[in-house]
Amino acid sequence: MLVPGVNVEDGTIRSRNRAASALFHAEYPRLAGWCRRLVDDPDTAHEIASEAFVRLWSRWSGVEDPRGFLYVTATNLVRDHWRKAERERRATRRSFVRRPAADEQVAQPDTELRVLVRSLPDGMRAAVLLHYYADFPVREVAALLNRKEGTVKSDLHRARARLREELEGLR
Amino acid sequence: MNDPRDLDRLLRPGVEPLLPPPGAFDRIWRTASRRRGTRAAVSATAAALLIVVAVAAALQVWGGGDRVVVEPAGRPSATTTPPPSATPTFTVSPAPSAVAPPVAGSPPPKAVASRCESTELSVALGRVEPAAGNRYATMVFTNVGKRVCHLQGYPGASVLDADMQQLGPAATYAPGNPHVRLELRPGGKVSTVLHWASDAAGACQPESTYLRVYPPGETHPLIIEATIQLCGDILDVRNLTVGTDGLAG
Repeated sequence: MLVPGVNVEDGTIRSRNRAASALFHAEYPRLAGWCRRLVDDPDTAHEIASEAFVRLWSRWSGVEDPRGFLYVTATNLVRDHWRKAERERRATRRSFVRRPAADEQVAQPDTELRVLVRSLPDGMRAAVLLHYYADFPVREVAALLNRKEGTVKSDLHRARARLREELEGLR
Repeated sequence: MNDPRDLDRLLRPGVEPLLPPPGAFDRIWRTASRRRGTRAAVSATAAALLIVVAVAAALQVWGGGDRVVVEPAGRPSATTTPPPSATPTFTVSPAPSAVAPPVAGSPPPKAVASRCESTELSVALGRVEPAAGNRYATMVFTNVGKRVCHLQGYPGASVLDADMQQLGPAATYAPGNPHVRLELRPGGKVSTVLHWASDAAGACQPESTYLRVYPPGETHPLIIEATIQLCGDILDVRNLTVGTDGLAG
């Protein structure tokens, strides 16, 4: 079982709390900002960033790379959010049978690209979000996703080719 | 979009930091602690269940269960410290809500005691043991009802000022005691350890006047007088265990 023994030694709790606080203040604003680029409203961005921290700290075992853990977790949460939003959108469309209004069509190139990134297969998308959006080097992305560097490189390459093609198709 | 650099630029949107809302860190930290506690409880229960099943299968015995019966005399497995009532620091009185227990008929026909309700319990805090920046106090629950009931898990606890306003966060789960079902006969006692930081990094709350305690699973609090000063928002409590020293022997 993972329940650790009695851990009440003076200072242990304090230093753990202090380290957590330092990590939070260093990483939260950027993580939440990163989420904000991927979802439609700041509240959802805060929700996802907070949940990533909760998952990090509710683990008993230590995490070797907390920052990587946060972004991978947030990547998955963003994906879940997109899926849910997509389901809701479909349900709404079914019940009202309407055409999307003009302003619902993606207007900003940024949003446009996000929609395309959304449509990538899971593996490619996670690599794109971590490497391009969150600036992790390929080597770290490979470690975080538990894949070979070569696989990540080729995923990124294929994702770029695909995105470029689709963006051009939209013109 | 013929220039591939456009894609690069688009794929690397500058991230504008989004500052956390006030109190976010504390809220997240508490939620994580709670979730950790729940998971530990779940895995402890699962482990206990496995053991019970294994033992039952091996011995072909039915009705073996992971429970501890606490007699009125309260025979703790490890009585190393005197009961906290010996040198009480806190005045202990039943909460206003903990009046005469509405004993609803006789105990259940089978030996399956239901959970102890707040009205069937009294709670007392023992002497405060200081330990360089930390404070520990035993918290003892007594079955003051007329029937056998059970407790399992850890109580809720928070400190209040003279106006009954909460000071700092509610107690989080602390590991150290197993998650077992404890049966209390009338007069039986179980206990846990309440821990807080006295001068941890972080601001201190004003001294409290009361301690509000929720027995496991209960929504009606027991309120006792207690002078506690929380610092660094650290307050935690373990699973209940037999005896009055709060530590599983």
